[in-house]
Amino acid sequence: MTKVKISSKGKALYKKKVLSAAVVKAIVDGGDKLYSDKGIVMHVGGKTLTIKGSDVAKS
Amino acid sequence: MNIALGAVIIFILLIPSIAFYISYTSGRHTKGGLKISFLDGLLASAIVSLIIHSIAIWVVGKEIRFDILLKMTGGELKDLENKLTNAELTKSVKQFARYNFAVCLIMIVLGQLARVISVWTSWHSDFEVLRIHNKWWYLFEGYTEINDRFIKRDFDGVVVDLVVDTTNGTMIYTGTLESYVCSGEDLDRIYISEAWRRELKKEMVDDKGEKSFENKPGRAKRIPGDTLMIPYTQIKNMNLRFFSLEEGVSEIEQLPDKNPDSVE
Repeated sequence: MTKVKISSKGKALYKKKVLSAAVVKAIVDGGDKLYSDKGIVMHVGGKTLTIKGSDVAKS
Repeated sequence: MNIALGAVIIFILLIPSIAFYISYTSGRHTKGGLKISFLDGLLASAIVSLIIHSIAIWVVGKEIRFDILLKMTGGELKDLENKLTNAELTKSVKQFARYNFAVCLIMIVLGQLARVISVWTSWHSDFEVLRIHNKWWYLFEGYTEINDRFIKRDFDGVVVDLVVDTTNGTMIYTGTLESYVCSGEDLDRIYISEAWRRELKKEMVDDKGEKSFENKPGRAKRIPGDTLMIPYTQIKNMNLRFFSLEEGVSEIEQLPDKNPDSVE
């Protein structure tokens, strides 16, 4: 079995099971929002989490 | 004439090139074996081995008893006892064994070194001949082909949509891609977490109670559990969504583990 390599940010998110499930749901419902300039913004307990489609040109 | 002995010696002489290839490609999620015929493989390994042995002979710099080697390879064992003493033969066989062991060991080390250089320079993703992993690994690790070069994207997580045939019809399973199992170049199964399930086509019931299907995905339902395994044989197609998180690690760690208050 090969684990997909993710960043430390991703690992920090996946430790929070309820939140990471909500992220998947937001991506499912969000459609093209993921690839917009603003991305998907989630408000959680007075804080925000912004999810964007990853950019190849960054690397 | 002993053909079997000659074949064994020739095979031993071909081992260094095979050892290098196995050493370079061995490891987890490696690509499948070379898709070439036995004859092509034999020819390729013979050419590479010839180069390796030429270099090795040049480096060793001592007299090599080609007369014995050719006799043994050709299987001409008649009168061998008259031409060679048992002590000479024993010495030659020991030297041949030591030489091959050393060359194989060097080729294994060089294979590993080549692998490290290939990973460090990303040549393994740029040149097909140097490819280390199978194609699924490159896909799931976020490599994208741009202008004939594979570029690795930066991502924090990957969400996968899988269209799967089930007894209840065709479903879309969505979740975080956690891990996968491959056998050579073939994907065997996928493990997803935080899984959601939707029908591919939304079921509609009209006033008369007759069922029909609209070309829209149904409502997403959470699948309880930690990890969902889906065999590749049931997957019709898949969509990968690589995502990045804007906030830093410490900000993410401070977030409460609960459903969001709102999503924009």
